[in-house]
Amino acid sequence: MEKTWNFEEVVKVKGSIPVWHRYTAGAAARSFLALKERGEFLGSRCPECDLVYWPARAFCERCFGPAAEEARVGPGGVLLARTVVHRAPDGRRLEEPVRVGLIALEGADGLFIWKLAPGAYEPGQPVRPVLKPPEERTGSLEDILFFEVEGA
Amino acid sequence: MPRVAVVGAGMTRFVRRAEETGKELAWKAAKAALDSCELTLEKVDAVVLASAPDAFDGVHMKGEYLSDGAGAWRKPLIRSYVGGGSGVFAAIQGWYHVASGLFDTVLVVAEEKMSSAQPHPQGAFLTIFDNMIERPLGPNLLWIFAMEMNAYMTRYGLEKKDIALVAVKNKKNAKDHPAALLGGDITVEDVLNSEVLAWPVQRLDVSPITDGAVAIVMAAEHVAKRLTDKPVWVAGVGWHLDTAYWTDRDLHYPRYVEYAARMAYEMAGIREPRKEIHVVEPYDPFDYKELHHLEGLLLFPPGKAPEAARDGVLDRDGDLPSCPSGGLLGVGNPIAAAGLMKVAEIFWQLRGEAGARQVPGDPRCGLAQAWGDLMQVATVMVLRR
Amino acid sequence: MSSAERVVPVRGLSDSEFRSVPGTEARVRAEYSWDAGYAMGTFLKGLKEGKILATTCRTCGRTLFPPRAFCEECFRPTDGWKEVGPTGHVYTFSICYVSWDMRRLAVPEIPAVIRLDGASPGMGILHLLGEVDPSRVEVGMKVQAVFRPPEERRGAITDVLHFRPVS
Repeated sequence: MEKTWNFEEVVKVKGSIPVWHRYTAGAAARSFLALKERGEFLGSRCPECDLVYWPARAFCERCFGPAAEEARVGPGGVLLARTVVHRAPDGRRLEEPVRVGLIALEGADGLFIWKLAPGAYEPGQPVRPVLKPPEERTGSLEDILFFEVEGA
Repeated sequence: MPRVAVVGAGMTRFVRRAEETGKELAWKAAKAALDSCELTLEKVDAVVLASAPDAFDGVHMKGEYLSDGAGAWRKPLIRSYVGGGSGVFAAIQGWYHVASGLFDTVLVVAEEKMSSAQPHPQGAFLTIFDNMIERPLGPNLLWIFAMEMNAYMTRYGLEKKDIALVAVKNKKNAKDHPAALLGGDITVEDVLNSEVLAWPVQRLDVSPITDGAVAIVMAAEHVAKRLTDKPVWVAGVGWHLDTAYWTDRDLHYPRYVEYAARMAYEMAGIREPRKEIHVVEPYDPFDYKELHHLEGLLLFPPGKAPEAARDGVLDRDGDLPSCPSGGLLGVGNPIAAAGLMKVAEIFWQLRGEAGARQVPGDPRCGLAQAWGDLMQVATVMVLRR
Repeated sequence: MSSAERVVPVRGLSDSEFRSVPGTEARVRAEYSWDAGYAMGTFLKGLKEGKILATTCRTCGRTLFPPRAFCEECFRPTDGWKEVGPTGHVYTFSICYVSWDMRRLAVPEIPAVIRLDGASPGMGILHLLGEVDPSRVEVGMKVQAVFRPPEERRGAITDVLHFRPVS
């Protein structure tokens, strides 16, 4: 078959996958509700492995038993690493760079990433969360405005 | 070939919208399957995970996301994916993981959370159609099933009431399934009077959008015999794919199901499937599909399965009980999980553990089948006590 | 162990509960531009000229439709082009009353698989039927393609408006 090809004439069809998603939080819901209602960091503990998860999990991935015990963690933690983001996911330059930190919450196993307040940071510094005022909280991670250096 | 057994099974209830996350659903089913054969996760050598398109759960690389719920923490994991055929195909992959000698004990998990997709999970399916010559026509997934059903009815001179009996039977069977979403007593008239979606498909001809998870444990012979005195052996497996050009197929007869069945029958040494198979779980996302598949499985001649439905042959106490679980029409249709549910049902039936759903006559050989991709893949597993 | 014990309860939510339990929403911004490729690109350009093109394979002798760059049976390139249709017959059809997101349609659509004259037996294409009362559509009905006027054609499958019964 003749394979002459004129790129001017390449036929394309445009389209998309027209769905959006609603994700339920499952066992983590209790962590988000505790944040919203009491400003608390409430996780869950696996008694078998003595691991504490935040946000709360239904099960422990290691022993496969339930991680059903409640465990309070944080609110403070230690900053392990940080970065400054200058571009949005689509490559646009951000007017205001976003600081992001990898945080080990006190009493929790595992790490999580969240926004940092403007300022200078060094790994190993103690950090603490600043929450939205109670009336503005919605029951999600977004209820945490950012972390800042303890005593700043 | 080394013998491989199913030694345990568990599942979640099937629901319309689960509060649990996908990985929590997977964990509940996987944990129940392990508990059913008193196995701990550390004894599992590898995990096979089945889940239909990422776009349903809205989680890309869903296999990795679900892996902890499937018990794959620091274990070899493979994701199985042939659309609706995935549930039975995952069991086939579990079988060859063990039959190959690579692993002694494999956990097979299937999960689906279709409720995440808004406004309707069909949106995730639209790119199944050819983007050049089909999607610009504004297709709806129901089109292809409705046209297949029409081709089947026209070729064999069937009427809707012949087919509606399957929906009646499966919803009735599902009343006895503790996981069922849509068990109940309906009549042929109810089916015929239900909302016409895409003629000849009406509301009650179709299985519902469902969330749920199912898991089974498969083991090599020496392990299986230690774990249980009632292992259920994998006697044969088969799978087959038809042309990608669905408009070029004879839609009235699923030839690819026949090829998959022949592969499984040859391995199982089955010469007369209608006599040698005692209980069957064909894939039934639509009522006509159960009949279509029973014919492809060579259990009835083409066009003759509706007669069997009419004569009660397919009832739970009939000569060849079909979908005694209640099937996708009655228990629900969380795509991949629905297929593995069929393997679990045959496992329970052959062990005499199906409770109120138990088919009489001490069945010794059963078959589970699933179907998917663009109406083109068949996956078959024959199990024996 | 009873069968009930192997079935684990999960919490099924009503639609309003589903929207009120803690969770998040996100939209995948997945937009694509799909290349038609050689065979389908040529076919679509043919439509612009009012022609329905199939490809041929001289090894198996088939006229392949929808057209493709390679014969999947012989697993070799196809050899040439052949015009098929514009007449054919309805292999199967549906009368669809709902959209993909399950809204009722004001006017039902009649999708059909149409087997075009000149293509090898069993080869068809998806399109819509028009200019026909839905209750009169039958399997086997002779139909023909209705093209848009030349100035409205864009090299797309929708250059064929629909198929209508051959009068």
